Amino acid sequence: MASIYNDIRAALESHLSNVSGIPSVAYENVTFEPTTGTSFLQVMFLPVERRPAARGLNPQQRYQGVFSILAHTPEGKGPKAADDYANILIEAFEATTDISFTNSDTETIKVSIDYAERQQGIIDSPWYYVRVDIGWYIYK
Amino acid sequence: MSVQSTVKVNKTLQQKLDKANGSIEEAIKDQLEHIANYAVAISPVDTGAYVESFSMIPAGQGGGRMKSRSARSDSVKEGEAKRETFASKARKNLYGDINKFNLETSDKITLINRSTHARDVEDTYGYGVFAKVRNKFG
Repeated sequence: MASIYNDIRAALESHLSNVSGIPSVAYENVTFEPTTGTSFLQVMFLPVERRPAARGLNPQQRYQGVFSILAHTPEGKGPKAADDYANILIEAFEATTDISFTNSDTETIKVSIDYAERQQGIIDSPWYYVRVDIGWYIYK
Repeated sequence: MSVQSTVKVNKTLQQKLDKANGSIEEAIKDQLEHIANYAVAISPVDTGAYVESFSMIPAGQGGGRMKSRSARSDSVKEGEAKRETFASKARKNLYGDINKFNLETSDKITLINRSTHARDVEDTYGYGVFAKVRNKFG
C-alpha cells in the first residue's frame, strides 16, 4: 500500500523526536523560522527504491531510502556543536536498529536502519552544518 | 640455489582469460553507466548547469566539469529549452568519462558535481542526489 511511506516517515520522525539532547527540528513543508545563533535540525525524507522482494503475484515489497538530517549550528563557533549533534544522531539511528511505529489503523510496522553516516561540515552563513544520512529499509 | 617454477601459458587459456577480462570490464562499465543514468534521472533540471556538471573521475584525481547557472540563458521553466536536451548532454559527458577509464589502473571511481550550486541542490533544496546514489549503489 502506497501509504506505507507516510508510516515510514512517521516512524523515523517520531524516533527522532524522542532523542534527547537535540535542538528544535524543522520538518519538511512546515513553517520554521530559524533564529540566528540558535542551533536546529532540518530533516528530509528521501525514498529511493520500491522493488518486489520475491517472485509471483502480489509479492512483498522492499522499500528503501534515506532519512537526512542537517545539524545546523551557529557559524564561527567551531565544529564541536554540530559534531556532537551528529554523534547523537548516529548513535540514535545506529545500523541494525529497528524502529517500530503503530499507525492510526493500529497496524505496527518496523523500519530497519541499514546505516548512519555523516558528511563533512559545511558553512552556509549564518550556519555551519553537518549532514547525517540514515539509510533505512522495510519489507511490506 | 634458487628455486623457481616456470609454466607455459596455453594460448587457448590465455585467449579465454583475455575474453573473461573483456567481459568483466564491460560489466563494470555497464554498472557505471547505470549509476550515471540514475544520477541524471533524479537530478533537477532548470538551466542544465547542474546536470551538465557531473563528471566521473578516478578517485583522488581533481577537476571535473563546472557549469554556472548564472551563465545560462536557457531554462526549462521558460520553455526555451527541453529537459531531455540537457539530460542527454549530461549522459553523453558521463559515458565519455567512463569510456576513458583504464580499469586496470583505476580501482575507485568518483562521481562528482562541481556546479556552483551543487551544494544547494543537495542540501538547501533537499534533492539529496548524492545521498540517493550512495544509498542505491554505495
